[in-house]
Amino acid sequence: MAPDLEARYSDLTAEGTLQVRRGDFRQAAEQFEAALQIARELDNQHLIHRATCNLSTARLSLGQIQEAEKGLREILLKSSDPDIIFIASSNLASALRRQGRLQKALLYAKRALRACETIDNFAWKSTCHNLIANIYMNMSYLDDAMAEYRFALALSQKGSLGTSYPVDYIKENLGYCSLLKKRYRQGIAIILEALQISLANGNTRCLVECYQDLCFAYMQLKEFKRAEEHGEKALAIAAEKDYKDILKNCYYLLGEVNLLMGDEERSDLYFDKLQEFYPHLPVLKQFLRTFDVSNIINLKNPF
Amino acid sequence: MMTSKFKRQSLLVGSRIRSLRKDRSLTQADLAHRIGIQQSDLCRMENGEYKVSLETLFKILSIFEMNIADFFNEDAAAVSRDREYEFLRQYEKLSPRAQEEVQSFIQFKLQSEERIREEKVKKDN
Repeated sequence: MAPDLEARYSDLTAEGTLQVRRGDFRQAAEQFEAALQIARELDNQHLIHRATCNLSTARLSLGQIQEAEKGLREILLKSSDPDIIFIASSNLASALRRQGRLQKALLYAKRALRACETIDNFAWKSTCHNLIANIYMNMSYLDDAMAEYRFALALSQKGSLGTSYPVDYIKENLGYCSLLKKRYRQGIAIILEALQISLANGNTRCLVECYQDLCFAYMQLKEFKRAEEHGEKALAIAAEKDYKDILKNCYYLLGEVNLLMGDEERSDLYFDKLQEFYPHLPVLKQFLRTFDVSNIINLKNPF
Repeated sequence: MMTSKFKRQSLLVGSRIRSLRKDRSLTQADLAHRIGIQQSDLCRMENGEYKVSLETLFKILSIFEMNIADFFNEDAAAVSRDREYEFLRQYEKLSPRAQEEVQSFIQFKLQSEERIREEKVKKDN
């Protein structure tokens, strides 16, 4: 019975991991939840920790931050397995980052980095530096963020990761960071590379971020038609996959782009959609129509 | 409308947040706590060194809800002043003859709008 259950656990975990990489987080969470159930039946602490960490990864991507945090601190106290410590620390860092608790997030990200020093896994090492870079970008320390992204890319090359995960995310983030530094053409070139990789990897989440960021870049370059084209692609994927953060960003971007093109009717349509998320803020639409906030916004700040 | 025909104001959100915060006697620590960010980040936001998410920007608008009209009107007034200044600047560049034409056109528009208003009143009665 136990070997069957262990095999089932491994299958569910493998399937869930694939779904995370494809950006199908809801399905991934279901697989990991089932794996956790099996681990409990087996009363295997190591498998319970691993499944809890995996479930946390999926929940983070679904924006279920409080749920994602559950059990991670306990794991860090109990486990001595570097793999588990790495995943728990980096997930905790991500959860804290999403809540705007950036100093603490950085602390746990660095703990994750220490944990993966002993692990021969370049994908994890790159992911960890990508996470640290994300935190720096959220703090608006753009030069530090870019240095970390470049280091993450160098590690992925050293580990011969080619174009596999997490290279697509790292390039996408590096490209966006360049946009924030107003190096639009350079940023677009890097994001276009990330877009090709995401398409090849079937990584929908990264793909949608590429389209969103290209929309922003072309808007800043006043190439409004191109901006609209990419924004609409991002919006379609975000609606289908229920990526709420991207959805809101796209409503803002498309509202802004149409406003800049002089199509106020269409702009209103998008701002109205955005307004629906903030019913307590009736002046939102008028505010966005009056003020250009594009230079003070970081589309990747999750809090 | 104003937004598409005139240059829109790039919002100096940082300095505006600082003055609104001071108007309401809030410390940086109070406001940072309510927004859900670190005090040091709020300090950098007020200095224009920190970029915010749409979520945070809207949260700030919510917190200053009572004063949102102030937030809005003061900067909107600045936009309006910019428009008037730009109009005057362009007007002064025109030749005297062209300036007369603009004045005639404004008179014509004022009279025709007056006529429309009178007709509407008659119709409503």
